[in-house]
Amino acid sequence: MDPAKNNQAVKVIKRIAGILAIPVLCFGIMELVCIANGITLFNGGYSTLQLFLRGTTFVFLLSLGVSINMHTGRFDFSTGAVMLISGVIGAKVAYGLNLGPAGMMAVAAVAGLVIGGLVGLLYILLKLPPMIIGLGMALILEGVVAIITDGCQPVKFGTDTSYYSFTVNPVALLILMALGLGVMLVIFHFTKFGYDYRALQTGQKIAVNTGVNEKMNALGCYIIAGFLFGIAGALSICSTNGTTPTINFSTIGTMFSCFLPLFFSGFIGKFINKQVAILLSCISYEFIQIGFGQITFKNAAFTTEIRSVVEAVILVAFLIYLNNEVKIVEVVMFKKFREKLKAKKIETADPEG
Amino acid sequence: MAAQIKKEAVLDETALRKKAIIKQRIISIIPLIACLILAALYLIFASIKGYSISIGLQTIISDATLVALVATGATFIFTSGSFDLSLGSNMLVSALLGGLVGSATNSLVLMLLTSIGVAVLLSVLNSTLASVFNLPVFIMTIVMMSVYGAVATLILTTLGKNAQISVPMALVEPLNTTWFRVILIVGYELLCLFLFYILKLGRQQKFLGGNPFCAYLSGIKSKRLTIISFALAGIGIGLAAFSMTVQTPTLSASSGSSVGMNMLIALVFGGMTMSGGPKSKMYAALLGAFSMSFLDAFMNIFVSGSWYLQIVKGVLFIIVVFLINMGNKVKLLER
Repeated sequence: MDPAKNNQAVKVIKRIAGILAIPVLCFGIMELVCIANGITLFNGGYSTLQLFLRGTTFVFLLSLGVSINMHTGRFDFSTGAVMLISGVIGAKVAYGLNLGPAGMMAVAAVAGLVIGGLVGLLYILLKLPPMIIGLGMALILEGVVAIITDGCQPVKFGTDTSYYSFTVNPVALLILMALGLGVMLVIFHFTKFGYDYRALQTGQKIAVNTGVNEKMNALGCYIIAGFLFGIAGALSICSTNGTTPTINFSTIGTMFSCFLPLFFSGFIGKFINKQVAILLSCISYEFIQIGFGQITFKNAAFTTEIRSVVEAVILVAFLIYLNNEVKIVEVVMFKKFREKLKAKKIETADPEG
Repeated sequence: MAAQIKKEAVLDETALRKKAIIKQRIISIIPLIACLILAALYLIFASIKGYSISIGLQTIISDATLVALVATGATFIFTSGSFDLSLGSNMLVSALLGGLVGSATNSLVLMLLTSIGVAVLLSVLNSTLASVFNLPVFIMTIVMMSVYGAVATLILTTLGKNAQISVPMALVEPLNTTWFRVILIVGYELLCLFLFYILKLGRQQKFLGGNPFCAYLSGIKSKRLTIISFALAGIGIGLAAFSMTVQTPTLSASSGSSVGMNMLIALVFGGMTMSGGPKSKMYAALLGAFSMSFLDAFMNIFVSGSWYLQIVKGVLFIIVVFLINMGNKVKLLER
């Protein structure tokens, strides 16, 4: 066989293995754990699949939005607040005007887009660190939500079940996921905005010196992220059939829920397009979540707190792997030992050379 | 003629330098002026409206103590260019374990030592994990924040009653006074000021935060210094945990929940730069904590909803940072 073709085949196999490793591992491990507990991962059949799709869609939209700013070094603490306020506005307007769940998604998306744009505008005008702007805006937006809801009164849909039904409708969820993925793929891979984004991502100073308009790009990032947060916020409120807003930085933790999938995507992204990597990561993450849910269902001692600790341990372990990949591979593959052995062999074969 | 022009140029340069120094000094005293204005506003309006000033001041000191203790310790971390978001949940875990030991032994000393010990241990764990495994400290602390939060809930549900841990009131009552809180905060502040301004520790931290590469070339051991910074912050967290237990002996998952984020706001209100380095000030935390408490008390005179206060706090937070950074000419956007 042609060695060039052989190399190509090995590369393709390695790539496919890299892409599928985490999803397959997550599915396999969680399935085994579930079997050990006397159940299967998708024990509930169609209803589990519905929950799986809902969870994946929510975390996918959130991860996409967070990744936009996080991958350019901007850490936006107002993510949860933008989600909450957009969702609440969407719920109030849609329920009040009888627009239905699809209308709520649209209103929340527009609200998220505008509020995200406002956060971005402050960032580029005041030139302060994004963390500061994010913290300040989280405080302000949470306060505004409290005013909108008459002092943190629950936001509900009455007897209208269409909002909840929407979040367990596989077709609607797939459309939302496709919309998020499509928007991200088109904007970040087929427009000047996307090229500028990547230039700024890899070399801020050089990109600005070559004429990239950093301010407009940053503003665009906040707007797109806001759009995605808006839909995610609406989905979250629909899935719980309403919400009771809380203040005092209660929204800050929302963004941390997508950290594990984002770190997974850091690995998968080496082999495939970033956005698709995020999708696969979210699917993997949801396997873990569904698995945890099944174990809790079977064994009440496996509480939410234990789940959180286990999830955090997985995150730390994966972070350690990502940051020490070369060293770990060296240890696992006995690379140094093999290199020494190889050098010894050469020395023995050709003692003068 | 040439000499005259040169002399004028030198004079111009000196004048510009003087102007810049004056501007910098004015900017640096903005937090102090803001704190004094807020205190004056509170005292004036509380007197006009007939509120009890002594009760009001007691509440202000009580509110400021927790945030000031945590934020003062955190100044060591921020100065050396690191970041820790897990301080609030660390405080809760330390308070819970301290409370359990206090209840079991009926000893305040053991309760204090446990609170400080656990806080230092958890704080050092963050930095050690980050150092040993080359993890970004910021991400590490976010992860640990959720771990400590979950551990706290686990402690409450397994070792507490109705998801609460109660320390006998009789045990903590003698210390539940404003004087105790004042002594605690003044003592810790003096210790930190001594470490920061008198010993070389503070200078090394400022150097590390300002230019890590230069600090490394000058022989500063960054990992060791970072671990020391986290340990010192741990002492503040432990004291805050003890103070919280003394104040509210019934601890739940929501105890001190906003301290972790409020300390960030306090630091900024006090004039601390979030990027650390040579402009860091140890007293910023204390100043910021009291500014926030005076603002809270002042707003409470006029509005009943805490969300209005939150909006005002958010707006002021952004304005204060903007004013402090006004002199900086940045071409690129901050990240």
